[in-house]
Amino acid sequence: MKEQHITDESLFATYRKGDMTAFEQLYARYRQPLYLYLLRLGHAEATAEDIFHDCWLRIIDQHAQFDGNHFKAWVYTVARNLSTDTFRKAQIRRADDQQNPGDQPGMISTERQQEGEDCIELIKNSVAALPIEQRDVFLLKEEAGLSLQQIADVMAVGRETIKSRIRYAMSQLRVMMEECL
Amino acid sequence: MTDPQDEKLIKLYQHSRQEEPSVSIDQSIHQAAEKALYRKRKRWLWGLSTAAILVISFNVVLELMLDTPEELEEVILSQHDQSTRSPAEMPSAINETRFSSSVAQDAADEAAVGLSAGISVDKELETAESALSADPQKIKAEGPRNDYDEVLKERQFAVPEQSKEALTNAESFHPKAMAEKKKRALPVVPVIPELPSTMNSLLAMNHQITGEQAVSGLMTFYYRDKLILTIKPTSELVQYKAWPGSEVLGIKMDWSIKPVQSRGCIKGPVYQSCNLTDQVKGLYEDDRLDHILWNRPND
Repeated sequence: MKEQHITDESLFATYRKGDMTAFEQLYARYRQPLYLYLLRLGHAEATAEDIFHDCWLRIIDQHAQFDGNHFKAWVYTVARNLSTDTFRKAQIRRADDQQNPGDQPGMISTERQQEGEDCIELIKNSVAALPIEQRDVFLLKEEAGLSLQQIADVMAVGRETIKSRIRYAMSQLRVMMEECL
Repeated sequence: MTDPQDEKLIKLYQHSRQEEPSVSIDQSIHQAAEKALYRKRKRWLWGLSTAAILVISFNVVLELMLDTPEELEEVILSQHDQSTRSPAEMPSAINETRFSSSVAQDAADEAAVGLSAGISVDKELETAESALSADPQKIKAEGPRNDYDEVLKERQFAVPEQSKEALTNAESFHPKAMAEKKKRALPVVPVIPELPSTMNSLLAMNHQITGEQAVSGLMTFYYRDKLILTIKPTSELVQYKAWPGSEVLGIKMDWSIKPVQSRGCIKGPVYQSCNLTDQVKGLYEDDRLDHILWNRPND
C-alpha cells in the first residue's frame, strides 16, 4: 500500500521522466472513476469510451498545460471539456433536455420505473435523469471525489452555486429513489 | 450529508459503479503513453546529436580558418624532408603528404638550395624544369615511387585549394620564373635619375656606399666593395659611368641587354660602344654589357 502515499502529481512527474510504471499506477487510479463520470454524464458507452480515450491522450500529450498542482482537478477539467464539446456537436444541450427529455441518453421513462427495476438500476437512471448541471456536480463529487472548491474551479462557478446544485440533486434523487430508501 | 437517506443513496450509487472501459481502450492508452515517452527520448537524442554536429562543424570551420600560410609552409617543408627519406620510408612519408605534386615542389626547393650553395643555375633550372613538367605517370615509370603510385593518385584528387595555391606560389619562386619576372620588370630603355655631382651629396644617398676622390677630380663609388659608379667632372660636362649594382642609386637598367638590341655600335679596342638612348651609351665587352655612360652639363 506504499503507492497510496504517492500523490498523483508526483506519479505524473515520474512518468514524465520516463517511468512507465508510474503511468500505470496513475491510470489504475483514474480508470474507472473517469470512465464512469463520462458514462453517467449521459454519454453512450461507445461515446464515453471515445472521450475517455481522448482525455488520456490529452493528458499524455498536453502535459505542458498541467501546472503541477491538483492533478485530479486538471484531469476532470479536461474530461469535462471534451464531454461538453461532444454534447455540443451532438446538439445535446440542457435546453434540449428540458424541452425534449426523451432524447437525452440515459433518460429514464416513468414506465420503466414502474416496471420495478432494482435499486441499482434505479439509481443509475435517477442520476441520468438529473438536469445536466446537477448531474455534473453530483458526479464530480461522488465519482471524482473532488471538494466543493475543486468542483467550483472545474466548472468555473461559485462555491455556493455548487453547494446549492448538490442540494437540489440530492433532493431530486431522494424523490426518485423513494421506493429504495 | 448527515441525512441517513442521503447516506443510503450514496451507498446505492457506489454499488452501481460496475462499468469499466474496455481492455482495448486500456491497451491503446498505454501504447500512446509509451510512444510519448519514446518521442521525448527521441527529441532529447535529436537535440544532443544536433548540438554535437554544431560543435563539430564549428571546430571544422575553426580548423579551416586557422589553416594559415604559415601552416602551409610547414607542410611544404615537411614534404621537402620526406623527399630525402629512403625508399623504405616513403610509403609513410607519402601518407603524410597532402598532395602528390610534392615531387615538383621538392625539386624546385632543391634547385633553390643548390643555387645558394653555388651550383650552377642552369643545372638547377634543368632539374626544376624536368621535375615541374613531370606528371604522375612519369613518376610512376621512374622506379621507387611506383610502390606508392596508388596513394599518389588518391592524394592527387585530395589536393586542398590552399595547397594548390601554395604550389602555385612555390612555382613562382622557380629560378627561371624569377629571372623572367625580373626581366619583365626591367625597362628596355635605361632610366637614369638626376644624380648629384659632388662626393658628399652622393654618399648621403646610401650609407652603404663608399667613395674616393682622386686629385684629378674623378670620384669613384663602391657598394659593398664593388665598383658601381664614377663621376668625372670637367669644365663643361660631368661624365657618369655606372656598373651593375648601381641600382642602389636609383638607376634602372637591364644589364642582360645585347648589342644587337642597341643602335649605332662602334667597336673600340676594349669595349664596343652602343647607343642605348640618345644620351646613354652602353659599353660591351664580348656582348656583355659592362657599364653605361652618360654626360650632364656641369652647372
